[in-house]
Amino acid sequence: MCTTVLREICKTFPKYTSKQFRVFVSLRSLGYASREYAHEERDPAPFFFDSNVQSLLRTLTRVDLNKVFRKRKTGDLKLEQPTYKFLTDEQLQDALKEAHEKSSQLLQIPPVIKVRKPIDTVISNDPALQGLETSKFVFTDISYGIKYSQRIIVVRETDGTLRHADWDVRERMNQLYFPEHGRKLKIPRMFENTNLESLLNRKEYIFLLDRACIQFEPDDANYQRVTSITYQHINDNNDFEILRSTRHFGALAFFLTWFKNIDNLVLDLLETLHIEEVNVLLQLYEKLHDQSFGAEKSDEVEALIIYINKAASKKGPLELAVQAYKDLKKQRLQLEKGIQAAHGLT
Amino acid sequence: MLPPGSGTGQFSQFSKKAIRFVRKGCTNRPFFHIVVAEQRKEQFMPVIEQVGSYDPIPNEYNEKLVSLNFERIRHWIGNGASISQPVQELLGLSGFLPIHPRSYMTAWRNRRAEKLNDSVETKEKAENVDSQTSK
Amino acid sequence: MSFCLRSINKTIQHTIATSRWNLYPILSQVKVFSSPKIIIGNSTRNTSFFNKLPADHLWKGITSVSNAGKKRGRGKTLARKKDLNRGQVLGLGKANMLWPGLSAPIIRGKELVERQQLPEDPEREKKLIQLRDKMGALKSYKLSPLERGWSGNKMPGRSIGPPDPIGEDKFEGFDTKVIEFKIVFNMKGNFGRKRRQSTFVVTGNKNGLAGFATGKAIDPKAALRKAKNRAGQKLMHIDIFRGHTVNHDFFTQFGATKIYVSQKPEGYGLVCHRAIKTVCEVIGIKNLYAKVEGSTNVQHIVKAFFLGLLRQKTHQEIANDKQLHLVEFSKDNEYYPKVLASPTVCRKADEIRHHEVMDFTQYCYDGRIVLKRKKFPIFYTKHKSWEVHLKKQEYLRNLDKTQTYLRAEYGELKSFLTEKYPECRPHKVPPKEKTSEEE
Repeated sequence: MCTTVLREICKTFPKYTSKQFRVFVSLRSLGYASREYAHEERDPAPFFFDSNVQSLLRTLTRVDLNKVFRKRKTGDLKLEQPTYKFLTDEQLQDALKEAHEKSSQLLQIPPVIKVRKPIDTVISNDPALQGLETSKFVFTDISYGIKYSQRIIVVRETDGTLRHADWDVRERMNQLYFPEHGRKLKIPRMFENTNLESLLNRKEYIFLLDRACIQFEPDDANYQRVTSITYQHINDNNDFEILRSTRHFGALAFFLTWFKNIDNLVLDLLETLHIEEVNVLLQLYEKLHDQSFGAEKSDEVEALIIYINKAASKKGPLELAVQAYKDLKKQRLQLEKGIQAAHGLT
Repeated sequence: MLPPGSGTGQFSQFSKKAIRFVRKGCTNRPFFHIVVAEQRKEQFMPVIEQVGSYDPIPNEYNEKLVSLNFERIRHWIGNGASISQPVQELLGLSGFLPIHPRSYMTAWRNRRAEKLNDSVETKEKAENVDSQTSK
Repeated sequence: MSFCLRSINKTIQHTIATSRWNLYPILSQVKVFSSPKIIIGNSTRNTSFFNKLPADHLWKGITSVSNAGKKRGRGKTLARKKDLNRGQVLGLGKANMLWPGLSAPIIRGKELVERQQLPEDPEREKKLIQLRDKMGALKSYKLSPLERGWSGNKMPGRSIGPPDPIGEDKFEGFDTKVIEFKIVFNMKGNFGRKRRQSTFVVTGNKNGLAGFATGKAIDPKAALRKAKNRAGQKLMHIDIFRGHTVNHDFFTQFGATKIYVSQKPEGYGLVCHRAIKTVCEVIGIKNLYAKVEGSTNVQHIVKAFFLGLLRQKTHQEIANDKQLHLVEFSKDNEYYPKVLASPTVCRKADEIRHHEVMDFTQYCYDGRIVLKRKKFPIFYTKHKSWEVHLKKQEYLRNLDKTQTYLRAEYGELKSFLTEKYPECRPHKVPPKEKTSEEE
């Protein structure tokens, strides 16, 4: 009902048409620009890894275990028969508890960090080696038990310079000598803009984000390009529900809040009557941008109204949504009163 | 069917060891394993351990790929293993050992050959131009 | 003698020729002015082996075998006799002539029909030849793969449609399949050996409703109908777990036939005796494994299987029986414990007796264990030649993957080196040139 009210409002006030009701997404040349956490700007990592922020993001993810443990295509050639067990009450509780713990692992949000700086450390320069070779040498240390990021990979240029390899070579060598399952040596075609567009139009967000997590490191510019475009597409099309209860929702919420673009999400939450989540989102906003709306204390729309006045970009639709929400609350209260009166409880 | 990288060759404790290439790959497509083997053993006999690989054919990005297990190489050098010259050259280029004199020699010879080539070419060109003008 | 025959022939030809000449004035009297065609008899020698013998004798030459040959079973693929008169009508021939009184009425309306030469029909000859070609060939009883049964054109495994409706009630969505189709004999006092067709069919709606029955009659069709309709009267309801498999593993027995049935995940298919497979198809079970031990009499197998299906317990019954929660752990959903059924009162851990069967499969098989034969490596893997073979094949170990990769990357089998070495290309088989016949 609330949705229809909002829709009506937006029809009557064309000035305030939010993208959620009229989706103008002409993606002929992918209408989105990449928005990275650039390395010259503010570092999101200390905010993201803060335990309070993490718990807020988890609340926003709205964990539904049925969706977390949804049936996935494992890609196994051999089908596996499920096992059946007889469990007592305690055993069942233990098993459920274990699954709950596992869910936090499955829902671990991919890290949000700055884009890395290019590597240009020269180790030595020996011009006497000029003319030795017509191609570069890449030396990789394959000693056992070294982390990907700490592996020594050096390049001897044709002019005799010995320098550390840049990121793309590093990743190529790591993948070549220590292949990671699912990662490809070359960036798959699906991450090219034209193919990305068709995936986005088909709403294959989870597939796209999962694949990006496997293919790229989180501080790769390409990763941030793909994810940021996906997040913007989701935001414009109001497809938040698709990402709920997945590990990507936290990253999405963080992205939107970091770039001050939470209005669509707030509208969505209001529509579905999740006012407490609106407050959580505003708390996150306060933490990231050092502003205060008193979101921690408010359990109704007070903080939201302050936010609308102070920081919102879509003031009109938000105010109308708040009004619609209030009306609905009032109606419900009246209905409850009426029911109680009918039961003779007053 | 490939033997494990840890090696399957039997060896005596006191025999002389060497770090050297073993040619793998096939006809017209060389590929080398860098291995530790007993000096007296033949190239294709089971090795003590594989410590790296070397692909002498440049790839798409014009790179020759070398992988080296420096930890094990250090261990074997410490145990008195000798290093064959091509491997020494590679280790030198990688910055692990000082650059092998042979590398400098090759580089110098290549440069000289190139210079010679260039000068010959320029001379020929000049001659060509001269002959054309005289005509 | 031969001279004599020849002279007789000549005289006959002569008379025919002259008679044709004689025929002309008669025909001309019937007002033929439009096309006064003269029929001229040619004077070839029309005698040969073919017109000296009657047709039957000629046919016999190519369609029969000697008695002794017949006894040995020879001549089964010999040509059949053709009726060359078929497709021919009196008065209509090669020359497309209209004969009033023979191939057309004499008077049409008020006008007298005239003899007329119609344009020649080139199709006629072709049609006749086609008809004759068809006649001789053996009729093929090959069934289309969709309606084929277990084997060739035999009945078992074939589908014969739903049972006949009874009054208003129709068997919608039902299908009947033949399991057994055999001839049985009975000794009668005055008839002696009496032969009947016996059929055993199973019918079902592919959604858990199924029944089976036998039917006997002298006529095979009647037997099938009887069995089908009887089966429609004996329907049983069978639980299908998640719409694709059995509730749980079970053991079942009828006479000397023992069956171990086990539940399988989606996509596994029906891996079992063909009779069980047919029954499953009719019931609507899609995934299952069954091992038949002992007698493989199909009627017994079907009966045992139905018994087992009917004796299955629901998960709630199992949980109540055990007084424990029945929980499913599946790889698809990351081993999330899914409670299938909970008892009203659950037992504590110390109430479980030490010798109790706690394994679900064991519980379902009622303590039985399926005998599984140990799998030995294939004999040739021990040979030296196998080792040599593996060594020789080693260079192919990633060939297909690389080829797939190159095709995906460049659209064909080439690499970044192809430009440098254009001569190094895989050999391409040139496309086949179309021959004139194909066109």
